[in-house]
Amino acid sequence: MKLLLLNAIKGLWRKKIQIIAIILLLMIATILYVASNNAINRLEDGYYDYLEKQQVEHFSFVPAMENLQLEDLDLLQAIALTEEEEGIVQQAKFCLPDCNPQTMMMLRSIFAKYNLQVELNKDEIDKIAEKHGFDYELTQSKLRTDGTKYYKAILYDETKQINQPYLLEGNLPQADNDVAILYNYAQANNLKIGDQYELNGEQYNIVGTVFLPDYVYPIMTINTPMFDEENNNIFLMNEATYQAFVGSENKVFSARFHEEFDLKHRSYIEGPIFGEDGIIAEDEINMTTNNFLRLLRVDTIQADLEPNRTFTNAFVNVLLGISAVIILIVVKKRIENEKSQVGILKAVGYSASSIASSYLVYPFIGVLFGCTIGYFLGLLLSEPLIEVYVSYYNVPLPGYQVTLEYLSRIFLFPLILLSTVSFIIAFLMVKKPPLYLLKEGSNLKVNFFAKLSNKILKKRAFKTRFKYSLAFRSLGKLMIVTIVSFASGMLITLFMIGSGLFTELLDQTFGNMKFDYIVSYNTFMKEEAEDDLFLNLDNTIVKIAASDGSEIAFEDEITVTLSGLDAPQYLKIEDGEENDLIPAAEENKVLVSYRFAELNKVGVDDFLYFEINDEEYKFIIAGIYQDYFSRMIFIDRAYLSELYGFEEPVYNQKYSIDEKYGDTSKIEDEELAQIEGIFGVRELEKNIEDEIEVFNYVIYVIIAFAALMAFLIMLVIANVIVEENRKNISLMKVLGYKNKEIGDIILNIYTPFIIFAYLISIPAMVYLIRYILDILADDIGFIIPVSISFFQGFVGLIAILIAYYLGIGFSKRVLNKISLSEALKRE
Amino acid sequence: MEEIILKKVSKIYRIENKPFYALYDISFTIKKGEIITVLGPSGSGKTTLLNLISGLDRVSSGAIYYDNKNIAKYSDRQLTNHRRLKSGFIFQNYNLLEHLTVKENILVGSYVAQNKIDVTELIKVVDLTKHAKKSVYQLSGGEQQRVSIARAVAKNPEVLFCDEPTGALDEEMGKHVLEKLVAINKQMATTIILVTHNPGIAEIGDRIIKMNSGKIISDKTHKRKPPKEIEWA
Repeated sequence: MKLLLLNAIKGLWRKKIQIIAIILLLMIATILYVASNNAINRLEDGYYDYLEKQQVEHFSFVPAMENLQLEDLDLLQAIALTEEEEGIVQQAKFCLPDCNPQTMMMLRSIFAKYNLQVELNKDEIDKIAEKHGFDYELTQSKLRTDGTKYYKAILYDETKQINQPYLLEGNLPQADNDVAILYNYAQANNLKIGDQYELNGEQYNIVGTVFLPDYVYPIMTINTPMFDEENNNIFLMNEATYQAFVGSENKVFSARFHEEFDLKHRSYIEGPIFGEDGIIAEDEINMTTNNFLRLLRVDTIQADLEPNRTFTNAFVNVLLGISAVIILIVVKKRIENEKSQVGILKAVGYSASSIASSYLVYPFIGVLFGCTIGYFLGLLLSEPLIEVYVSYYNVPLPGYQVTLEYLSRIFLFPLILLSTVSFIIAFLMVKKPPLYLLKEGSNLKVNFFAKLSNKILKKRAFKTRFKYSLAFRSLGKLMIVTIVSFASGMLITLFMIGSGLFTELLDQTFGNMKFDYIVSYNTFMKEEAEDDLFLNLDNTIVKIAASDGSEIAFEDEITVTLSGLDAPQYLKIEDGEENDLIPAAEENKVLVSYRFAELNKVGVDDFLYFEINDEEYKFIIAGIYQDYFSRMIFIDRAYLSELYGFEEPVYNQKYSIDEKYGDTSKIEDEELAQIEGIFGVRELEKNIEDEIEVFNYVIYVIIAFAALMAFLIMLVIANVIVEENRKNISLMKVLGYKNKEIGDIILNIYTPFIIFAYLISIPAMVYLIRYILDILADDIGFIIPVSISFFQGFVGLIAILIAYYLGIGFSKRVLNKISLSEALKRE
Repeated sequence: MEEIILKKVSKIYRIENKPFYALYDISFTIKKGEIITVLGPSGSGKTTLLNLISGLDRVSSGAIYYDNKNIAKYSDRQLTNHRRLKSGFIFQNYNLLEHLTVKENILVGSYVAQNKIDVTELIKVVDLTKHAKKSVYQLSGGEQQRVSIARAVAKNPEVLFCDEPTGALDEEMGKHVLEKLVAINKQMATTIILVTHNPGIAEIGDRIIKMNSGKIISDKTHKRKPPKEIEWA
């Protein structure tokens, strides 16, 4: 056995390219696996540990205002209400608790505007908290922006138990005008403890740097979904400093369950806390958009890490699969070349299993060197990877650790897999009778396909016929090359589509927006303005019917936003053929989005039924506008206002190009008090463009990987082809063929198959993605377009062909070295 | 092993659905210690006969007894074991393991032997002492064939099967190889069955079995000629 192993090792050493390819593939797979999993595991462990230690909130809420009572109006006594608001309150005094829906809606908006929700029904909230077993605390913050920089002031109270700040340096603020700031912001702006910080004429003393557990990813507002560590900061300050800080305020309750709560499985809106099957009923407390944002700040990291891990591990498995394929090729080729030697060993009396076992040296050496080197490189690489993650997420950097956790996965699993594959192949080959193995056989058997290709290409030149006959003689290699090209092509196509998808979504979403800001109001405005005005009211569809009157069934409740509009100047609403649909939205004729139409299987002239103020109304779908996300159903604003009982048309949102909305200090105080939020469209667009740019870099990396995979496979296969054709090559040299001619005949046999495989991979992947997205459409709630441009497809093909020709190029050097005397050797 | 008995052994191949008799109804006995040469032209069935007796191939009909055990009924595993313990092989094309040295190639045979022979001594016997650490592809044809002989003998087999062992060699080297085989037969009483198309080489045997078209034409005892004296055709 020892001698068989020695023979195998010496044979392996003479074919260095092949074993190096195997080692490289295994090394890359191991590096990826270890680096990614080590970084993610350490970060995850540190993250959950941090959240528990800092007592992060499990959810946040504001009390529901479903059951406003007369005594709740006392809270408004100290507020300077507008005349209109006074009128509503007076009206409410006479009808509470049973006012009509419109009055209730307007009353709730007044409470929301003045942040009085949190003052409502404290006893009720205490009862709910006791019933569901949670503690809660008030969290107050104010936001200020100059359009580029965002500043959030948070009231720091040392008695707080929930969302405790994590102090990195210095102290938490005690005195007036002392502030603790975000650590990442301090680093990015070169700020230190003891520095003075000026903001809007006020001087603040930086006394500490912190992380905040409810701001792991500190999204400042819904329209700035990316954390900008240079321009986004949070100040912790004492009560007096906070009260003096000017900004739009937000108050919520932050809550924590007494019992252990699994932070990993908290979903953003529905799930274990709220919703139909949730712990807490919707009419007890509810969430607002801000609370959705709060959960995102804590949980976004989970949504990032887990998919990264899944993707990386899937990619690693692909690489392992490819390593198995390469080992398979190499072992098979070795045995074919040593066939007669194997035969004599069997004749001598060695069993098939002992002979086959000697070929396990290939996977063993591959794993030993590839996985060992990969393991240590992976550990090293995990450090900068963690730092990349930590630069995005505000969590304490987990301590360095060397772990043995992956050893079984990175050594045992590939060793078992590759050894099994090698042994099976080797055993199947060597178990043939010794006489069969001893026969001087040609490796270039002529099979059906080779004969067929000869027939088809009968009239072509000898070179062409020989080339394709050679390609078809080894169906195994042909299949492998084709499959690898197909797989690489699918991988490249997947990411090209991803890139195109985001660009398409960006164009679709923002292409029709000529406005810069969406301004939402916390009350219904009557004064007409020059901007585009909208009345947005959520409602639930009660029935859908086809144009012939037959009912269209639907399962889940469909909540939409009825959006009353006039003739907007900054917003285009067009169908798929770029026809303007706005004129069609008159009276009870509505416009629905492509997403809505697809998800609910409706079309033009179908009917939607809504209940408004206890009456059922029927709307006709007059057009389907091109939007993959929108839940908006557009309708005439005046008509909608009338349906809801307003005496004249009102609005609660506008689209504007006025630059004052980019800087809250430029907005008049009276309007500022009525504004619930400002959404900067251009800022969001820029954020998404930046995100896409990052994603595009990822795509280039993926393409490089796919090309590298293809290169390694081609290298091995080309090497193997040269090896098995040594005698032919030598004979051709004896006959007078030049090296270039020989290379062209022997090596360039797979080019059309590679191109063909790549070209069919594109529609295959497009079809697969469309199929998956169709299935997911209901769950994710929007439709995603799938397309790939000619240029993208061409780039992918070039990448694959470069890999192929590089692989061949290396093997040509081996071919050139084959001597003429090879032809004279006996086998 | 005392004797090998073949009884009505046939080997049939199917070529384009028609039976082709590579061997037809062969019967004879081989005694221990004999050197038997099987002589015949190309396609006469001599190599097929060798392969069947050695256990490399299976009969289509008939029996082959090694000390009353019919190897025609053996399973693959039993045949492997049989070859391991009883048979040594020397082929025209040497079939050495090219990555190993001379000594290592011989050890390949020694490893499976029950009663091992000292490999160093064996290397001396085949006059390869100064080449012992060389890779086999550095040797001449005759030297490689001697390695092949040493490997076969290292197993201490009961029977040595030689298929045209001098086919790739010139007269001088070929006779040298034949001398080694005869010496082994004398020293170790190893039965040798040698296949050749060369009538001169056939004269080194105690018996010459002539074959043609799958049948034995004659089976005659013979007085051995020393390899030096044979006529090299």
